[in-house]
Amino acid sequence: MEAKSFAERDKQWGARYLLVLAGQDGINREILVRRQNELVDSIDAAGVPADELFGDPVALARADADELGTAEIAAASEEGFGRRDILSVAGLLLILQGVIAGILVIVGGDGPVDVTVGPAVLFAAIAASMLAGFVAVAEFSAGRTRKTVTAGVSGIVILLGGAALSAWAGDRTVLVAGVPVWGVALACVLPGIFVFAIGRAVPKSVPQTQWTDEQWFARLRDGLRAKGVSAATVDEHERTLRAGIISTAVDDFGQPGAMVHRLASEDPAAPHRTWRLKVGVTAVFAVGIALGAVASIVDEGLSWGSVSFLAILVLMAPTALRVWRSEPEKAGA
Amino acid sequence: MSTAAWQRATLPLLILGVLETAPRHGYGVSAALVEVGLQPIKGAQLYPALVKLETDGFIVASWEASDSGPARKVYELTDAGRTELGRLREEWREFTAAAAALGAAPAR
Repeated sequence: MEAKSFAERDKQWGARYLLVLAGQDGINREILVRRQNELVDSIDAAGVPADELFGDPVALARADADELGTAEIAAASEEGFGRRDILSVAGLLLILQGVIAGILVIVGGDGPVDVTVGPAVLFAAIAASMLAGFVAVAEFSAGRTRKTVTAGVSGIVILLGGAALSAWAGDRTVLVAGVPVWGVALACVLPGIFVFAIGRAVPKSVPQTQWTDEQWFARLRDGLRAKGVSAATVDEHERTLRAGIISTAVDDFGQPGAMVHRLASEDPAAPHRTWRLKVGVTAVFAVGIALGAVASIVDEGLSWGSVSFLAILVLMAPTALRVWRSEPEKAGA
Repeated sequence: MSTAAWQRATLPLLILGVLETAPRHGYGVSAALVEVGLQPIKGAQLYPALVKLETDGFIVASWEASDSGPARKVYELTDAGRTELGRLREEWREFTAAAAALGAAPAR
C-alpha cells in the first residue's frame, strides 16, 4: 500500500503523530500506512490544518494505538517460537551440558566404570524433564494453555518419579559393567543430539496466510480454549464461522490469533475461567512441593533436600498470591 | 476519513440498522451495506461485532436450514436492540449536526 503525503503545513504534525504511533505496541507498517492515508484524506476533506482538526498528535497517536494495535500484537505474539526452534535450542543446550558433564567424567574418572541403575535413571529423568520444560515453553508461547500444563506437569512428574526411582534403585544394580570413561562422556552428549535431531526433523511451520481451513480452525479452537472460552461456545463459534466461509477461512476472517482475541474479549465468563485454571495449577504445584517437603523431612529429617522444597514453597508464595489476587470481576458484577 | 474507516467506527449502528428491516445472516448484513453504496465488511470485523451485539442482548441468533448448503445463522433485532438503535441514531444525529455547524459558525 502506498502512503499518501501530508500537506506541507501538516508535515510536522504528521511526523510527530507517526513517530509516536510507530513506537506503540502492536503497530506495524501496514497499520501506519493505513492510518496515515485515513488522516490525509480526512484533512483534505475538512480543509483545515491537522492540529485544528485532530488536536495534539501525541494524544491522538496513543488513543489510536489502543484501538489499532491490541489484536495485532496479541495475534503476533501467539505465533510463538515454534516446536522446531524450541527443540533445536533445547538440543543445543543439552549438548552443551552433556559436553561439560562428559569433560568432568573424563577429567575425574580413573579407568572403566560400572553404570548403575540409580544414576542412569536420574540422568535420563533430568534430560526428559528438561525436554518437557522446553516443550512447555513452546506451547506457552503459542498460547496453548492445556498443552503447556500437560508438558509442565509431565516434566515435574518425570523428574520426581526419576528421583524416587533413582533413590530406590541406588548403586545396587549394575546396568553395564566396565564402561570406559569416554563411553560415559559420549552418553552424556547423546540426549542433546537426540533432541536436536528431533527438532530438525520437525517440518518448518507454514505461514498463517497459507493455512488450510482445518489448520485455521484448529488454531482458533486452541486459542479460544486457552483464553478460557467454554467448549460449547467454541463449538458454536466454529460452526457459525464455517457456515460463513465464502473463500477460505484465512481470506474471510484474517489471522486466527486476531479472531481469537476479538472473540475471547467478548466472552464475559472467559477471564474468570482462566483465573480458576491458573489457581488450580498453582495449587496442585504447591501441594506437590509441600508433599515432597513432608516426605523428605519424614525420610531424612531436616536435610538439604527438605530445605530446598521449603525454599521453593517460600519463593513461589508471592507468585501464588499474585495469581489469587488477579481474580477478574465476575460477569455481570 | 475513508468510507471504510467511518464504517468501522459506526459498525454497531450499521448492523442494527440493517437488521431493523428483516433478519439476515452475516453475509446478508454485508450485502445490505453494499446495496446502499457502502463497502462490504470482512468477516474478521463483522463476526466479532455480531458476537458483541448478541452478548449485549441487542440481537438474537438462530440456525436456519438452507436448501443449497449448510445451515446458516440468522440474526434478528431484539426490543433492546431497537432501543439501542434509536440511541445510536440520536447520537449520530447530534454528532453530524455538530460537525455541520462547524462550517456554518461565524469566524471569531
